[in-house]
Amino acid sequence: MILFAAGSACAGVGASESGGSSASPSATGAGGSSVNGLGNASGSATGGSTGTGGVSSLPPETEVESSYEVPIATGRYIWVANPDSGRVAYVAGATLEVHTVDAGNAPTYIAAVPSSTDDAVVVLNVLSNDATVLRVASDGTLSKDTVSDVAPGGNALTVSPGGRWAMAWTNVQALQSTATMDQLRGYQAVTLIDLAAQPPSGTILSVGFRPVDVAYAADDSAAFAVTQDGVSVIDLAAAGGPRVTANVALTTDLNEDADTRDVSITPNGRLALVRRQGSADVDIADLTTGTLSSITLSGAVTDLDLTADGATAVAVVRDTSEVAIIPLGAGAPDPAQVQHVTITGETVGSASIAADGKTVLLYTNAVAAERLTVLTLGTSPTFRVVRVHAPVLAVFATPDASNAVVFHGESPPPATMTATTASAGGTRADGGAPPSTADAGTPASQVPSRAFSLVPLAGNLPAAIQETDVPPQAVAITPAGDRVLVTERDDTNNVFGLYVGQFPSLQIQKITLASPPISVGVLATANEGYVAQKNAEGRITFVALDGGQPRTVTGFEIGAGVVDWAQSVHADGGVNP
Amino acid sequence: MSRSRVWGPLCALALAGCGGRSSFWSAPVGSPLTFSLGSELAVVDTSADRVVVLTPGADQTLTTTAVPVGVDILNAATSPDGKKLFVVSGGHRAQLGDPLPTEPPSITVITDGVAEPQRYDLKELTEPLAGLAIDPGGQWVVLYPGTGSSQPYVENPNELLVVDVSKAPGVVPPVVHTLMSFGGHPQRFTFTPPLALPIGVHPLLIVESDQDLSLLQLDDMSQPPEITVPLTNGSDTRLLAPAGLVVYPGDASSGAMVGVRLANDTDVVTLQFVPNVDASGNPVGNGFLPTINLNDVGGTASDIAFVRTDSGLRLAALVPTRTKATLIDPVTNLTTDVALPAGYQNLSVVTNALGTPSGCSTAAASPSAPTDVALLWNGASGQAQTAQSGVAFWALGQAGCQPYRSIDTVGVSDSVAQVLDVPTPNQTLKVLQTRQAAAFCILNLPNRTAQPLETINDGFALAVSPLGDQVWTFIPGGLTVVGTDFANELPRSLLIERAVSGVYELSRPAGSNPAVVVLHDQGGLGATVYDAVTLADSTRRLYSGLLLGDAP
Repeated sequence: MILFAAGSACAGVGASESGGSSASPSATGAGGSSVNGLGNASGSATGGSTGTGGVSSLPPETEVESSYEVPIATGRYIWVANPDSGRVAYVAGATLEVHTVDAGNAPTYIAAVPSSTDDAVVVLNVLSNDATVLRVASDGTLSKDTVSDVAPGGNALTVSPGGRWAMAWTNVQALQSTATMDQLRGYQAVTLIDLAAQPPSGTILSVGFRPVDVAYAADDSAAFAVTQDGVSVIDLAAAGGPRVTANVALTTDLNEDADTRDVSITPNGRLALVRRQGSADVDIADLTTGTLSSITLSGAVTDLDLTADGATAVAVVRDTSEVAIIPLGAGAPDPAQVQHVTITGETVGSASIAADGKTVLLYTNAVAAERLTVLTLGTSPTFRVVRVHAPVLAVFATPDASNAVVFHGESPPPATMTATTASAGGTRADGGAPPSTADAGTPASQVPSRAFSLVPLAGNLPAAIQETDVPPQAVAITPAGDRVLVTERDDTNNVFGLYVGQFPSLQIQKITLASPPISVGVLATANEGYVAQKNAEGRITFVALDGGQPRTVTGFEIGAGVVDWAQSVHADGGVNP
Repeated sequence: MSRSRVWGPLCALALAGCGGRSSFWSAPVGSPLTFSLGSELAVVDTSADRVVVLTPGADQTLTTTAVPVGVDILNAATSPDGKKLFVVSGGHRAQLGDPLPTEPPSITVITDGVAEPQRYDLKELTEPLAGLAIDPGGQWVVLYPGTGSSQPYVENPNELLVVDVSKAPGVVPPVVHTLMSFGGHPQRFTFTPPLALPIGVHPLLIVESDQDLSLLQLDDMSQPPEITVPLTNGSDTRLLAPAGLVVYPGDASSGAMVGVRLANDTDVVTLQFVPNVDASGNPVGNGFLPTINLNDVGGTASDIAFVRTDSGLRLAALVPTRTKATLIDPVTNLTTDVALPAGYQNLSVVTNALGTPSGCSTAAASPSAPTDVALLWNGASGQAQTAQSGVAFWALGQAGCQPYRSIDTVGVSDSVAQVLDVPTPNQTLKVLQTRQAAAFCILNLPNRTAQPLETINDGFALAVSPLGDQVWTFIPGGLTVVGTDFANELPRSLLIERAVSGVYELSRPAGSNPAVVVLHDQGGLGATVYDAVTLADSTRRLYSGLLLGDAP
């Protein structure tokens, strides 16, 4: 599933709790992946509390709602927007130096811009309907550009893999989760921002009805908006600027419920793969020709995932334990080219493809299964089963596929199941997630339990299970795959923690946090892990990935106000007297 | 040798015939500031621009020595160890025909037992600075603008004059420095001990203004300017003011930390220090920067202190309105609330006084992770309405010896206004001065007992002997002086025949008992001198007119 795929994208796919932004996998910062938000097809909801109410007579802190949004990581910095103050704070992971910079009116959504020369983000200012592009050079110099005339109402930013383009758009699923969607609006206006232009400029376009996802071609030549009308194709290389060149329908059934579709677009922008809940077909739309083809499997497809290079798709049929390996390198394949593997003796309903593109982790969370299957792709795919010590809820592979992190689940009591189902969907305003709900193809018969495991995949070594105080919330994995960071959060009982796991030693260090974690990630360049927390003044705990020492910064705006008068340049970029 | 001075009305009568006689002879003798220096008593004779040093000798003799200081005494204070007196003088700017020569502002340092004072002329100043902050380390004195009559017409409240008083006058020129300001006015000055900073071990001067902090490196005034640390969020319309700070100098495992409580907010601020370097690793600016953490403790903190707990170093904050203390982990910002039996407002770490961590036996305590014991009490008169009576011990660790973070109250029924330290050899004792109660207590820290000593009324003052042997009780303006020795806790009264303005116990040369000097601010300043051990009435001596001789 898309959400779980984010878990393997430790090189940079952010798991923003606000669901408003994303970066390409080439970004040097890394966001974490969460599990409590199971079922959000955009992969943007993350976890949090599983309960409500209950206030201690002497709580550690009396807090107001946080003014800060979920942060974004680039190579050296964590970036956090404060819609109230109109400023964006960026914190250096290596030195904990805090800076702020004025953005527009209500900067709310941030996305990292992949760049090998600087740390860059684009910020969507929701009240001034503009965007701010911020770049910090290697010498710490900040530059800022404003892109005016951004289509109003946007709640998401998506940046192209090469960092050339950013799209400000309205993710209707996020609107649905907050119950603010106008039933008569199409939310079709998107703004393509050319980040390479001097100064950056924006172009407003209209895509299909109610977009739910956005993707780019790997070479930044095209963008795609997945909408209820199909896939809107945007030519980014067109003379005169970006323009919508086509809308590729994903079905011939005009009455189809678009909400049941799970659409994946290959990185080369050529194909869109469609899985529908309860359907045995995998539809493949050629975005160049508009041709629609279909591959029929042995039963309802419960998961569909793409390798990072888009050369292969893996579809899972839980009822028959069938795994279909679909080659995509040459376009829509002939059904005869599809490899079919039956995982004999196992129930598998979900697939998570490691970043190496060769290893697929198969599991189910529909039943209490204490095992996962490692499928190795190739001319003759092979698989083996790995035993863990509690039911599997979610699996996140390290980039080299040598190890994995497994979140465990448990069967809920009937009452809990009812409550869980009733409150499905959405992200809480404070960044916490509602109780889990069912994925379209994977009914959440399991709910998160208080444990996770570090699982060696390369050898025949046993997994190490770690009991947690409350169910794990999110995970981040370093690009090298040698460290994992797992957060836990229970607002009701004020339990907030971070577990730092090490591969291959499987040692785990626990760090208690002072406030609810809202995101976890890795600053690759700084070799630091980070946990952003809910705090009115903004709070981030950094963890040295080498030694495990935590350091915390609270109060971004005050911290940014520190002035060393011996420096010629003010922390905010102004020049000192 | 001595020349008599007369009282004001007589002086006025005599002025017409005095011609150009020094004003010294016509200035009234009021109630001068007095300071104990250990073996000498310094009397600041403002009107005569001098300090009269009283030295007790054998047989309760009292020698007076006049030490001239700069003209126009503005301020005087002793060093924290009580061995030096610093006198700030404004100097004099001679007008045409002025018989007095021009004299720059100055600082005069009078050291206990040293005959010659040191005088630092401050030619850098035209307008005198009356504020005085003294480095406990003995190296620095900072002058800053005062208020009241000494304030010039135009004043820069952020002007500082830094004087290295560890060197002889003239060796190191004073440094004038203006604090960079966003509108703040300096309120308090803290000279830290050497701190483990990213650039090495250096002391800092931390200046609390009414809205921010300034951090200055003083050990090398050629160092770059200060670092300003705001305390108010730029989006906050309030102006948060610091109300006091504490410092942890750092150790082998952690760097230095600073804790700051706020006067008008529920946050407690902690500062830690990180390197400030460029991409090549070269120091930028001061070479370090503070990182800030805000910790909401649920109410305005009345006192803070760094304490060692069995979980590590914590910043303890007392929140009397919530009847609790909060322990803040400065690394993770994790806070732990500890319910207290009363809304204590003040906290003192008394571990060192106890000698062993946690009050446990040495065997039980881990030498590698000592923990602290804090004394809690209510001392702020402004919050007396909410204050509870008594004191309590707060043990901060060692579950095997004491209950974890245990609170032990002591049966003191009165509200404690002040806790007075007792010097060695009785450093394990504290004297509790009560508020509006006819009693005081001697608190025994190891035994956790409180010996009450009752008085007839509540208008008394207390003075602990710098020799640590007894506590003196007297009624200002009255005729009552009582010494209570700590060994037996037996009160013994002195026979006093003049109104008392102060009581000072002073050491005398080896082999002699200390003397107690009871000052009387009548008759040109007088004194009754007793042997502080025998307290024998028969050997006491009475002196008067102590300021009436040795005109400058």
